[in-house]
Amino acid sequence: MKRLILALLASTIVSWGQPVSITLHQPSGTMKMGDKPIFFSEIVNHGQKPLMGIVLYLSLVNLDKGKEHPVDLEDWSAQKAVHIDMLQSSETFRTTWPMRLIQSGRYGLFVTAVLPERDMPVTSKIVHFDIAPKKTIVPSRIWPVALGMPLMILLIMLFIRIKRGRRYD
Amino acid sequence: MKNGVYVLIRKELKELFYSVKGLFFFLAVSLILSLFSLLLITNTELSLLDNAQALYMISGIVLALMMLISVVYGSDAIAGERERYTLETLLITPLTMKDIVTAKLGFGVFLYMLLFAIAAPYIIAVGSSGQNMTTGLLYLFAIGLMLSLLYSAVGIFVSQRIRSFKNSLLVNLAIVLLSASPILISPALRQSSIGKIADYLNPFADAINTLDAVIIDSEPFSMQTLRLAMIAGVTLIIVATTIAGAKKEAL
Repeated sequence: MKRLILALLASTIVSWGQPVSITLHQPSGTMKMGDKPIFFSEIVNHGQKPLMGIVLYLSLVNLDKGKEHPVDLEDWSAQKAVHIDMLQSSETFRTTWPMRLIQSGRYGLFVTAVLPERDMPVTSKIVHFDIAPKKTIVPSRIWPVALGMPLMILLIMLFIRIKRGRRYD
Repeated sequence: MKNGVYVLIRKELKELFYSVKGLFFFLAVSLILSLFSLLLITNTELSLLDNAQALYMISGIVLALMMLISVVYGSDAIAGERERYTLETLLITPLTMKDIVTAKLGFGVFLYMLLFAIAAPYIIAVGSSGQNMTTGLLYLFAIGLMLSLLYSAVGIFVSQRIRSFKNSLLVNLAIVLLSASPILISPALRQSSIGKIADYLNPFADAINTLDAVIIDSEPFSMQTLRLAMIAGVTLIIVATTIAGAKKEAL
């Protein structure tokens, strides 16, 4: 109990020490592969002074049991970082984060703010979400066409060659 | 002289189907589409694409191949006949130059239909478990038909005015490169007002943007009318100019 109180106290002191807070919101409804949901974050300046040159960036972690790993956002998001020139005291800056859901699984998404004059970055709470799998390109349908079509045209060419000889070449 | 036009189209058909060389182009088309389809399932990055994206990409490839076939055929239509000394044979028939050009245009459209028939199984295989497959096929057919007429007309127009097939082909390929240039420029750059106007004025860019809008963004027909009207309008003007401007050839 003592430890818990101490931990809570410590986290409160840390959050008090930060001049900004970030919240990340996820869109409602279920998500599946191929969807393009838009997440949004809000950063609020709680300090008395304006803050300059804040960098916000997105992080995505795969949380599938036994396969936990950070995800390269290359295919997932066109917007990976945002630069805020100035955030006035008590001002809120809203950023939209359009995502493209590439692979199914359980994920955690959070936003980090880096303040140039601070040693500690500030992060939002992790937003957890599941991406349902979706049937995309079916290999069993592509193989027969990819092999069959050129073969069919080749056979037609051979047939013409045998039937007509070199008459029209 | 409708019959004469049909006879000429039949002659072109025979040349295509009875020669191995004529069909070789379609074997190449099929191999390109096979390679792309196989990349979709074997390449990790491409395999992550959703069906609509893959469908849009394969439609773009079909349009690019159509442009190439149309201008190669268009370049050969008059200049090639002239170089092979077969134009004289055509000129001594009762056909006028306008009839010959009309027949060549008709065959250019047939070539696109053949290309579409080869591409359709690939499109169905790639896109059938995703969104807008039928709509995409319909739009691709209609847009491709108009563009094949347009590029064949451009090819024939140039082919009649430049004596050698090689030079005619070079000029036509330059035209293709110019009209395909929007896809080489990033979409962000094309969002400026000049970029948007250039996109609307270019029938190929209109075609690509329409396919993007209907296949990926599921936009309704009402939102495509301006772009489709632009493609149809430019096609009509170029085809009319090519037929009306068909020059009399000296024997």
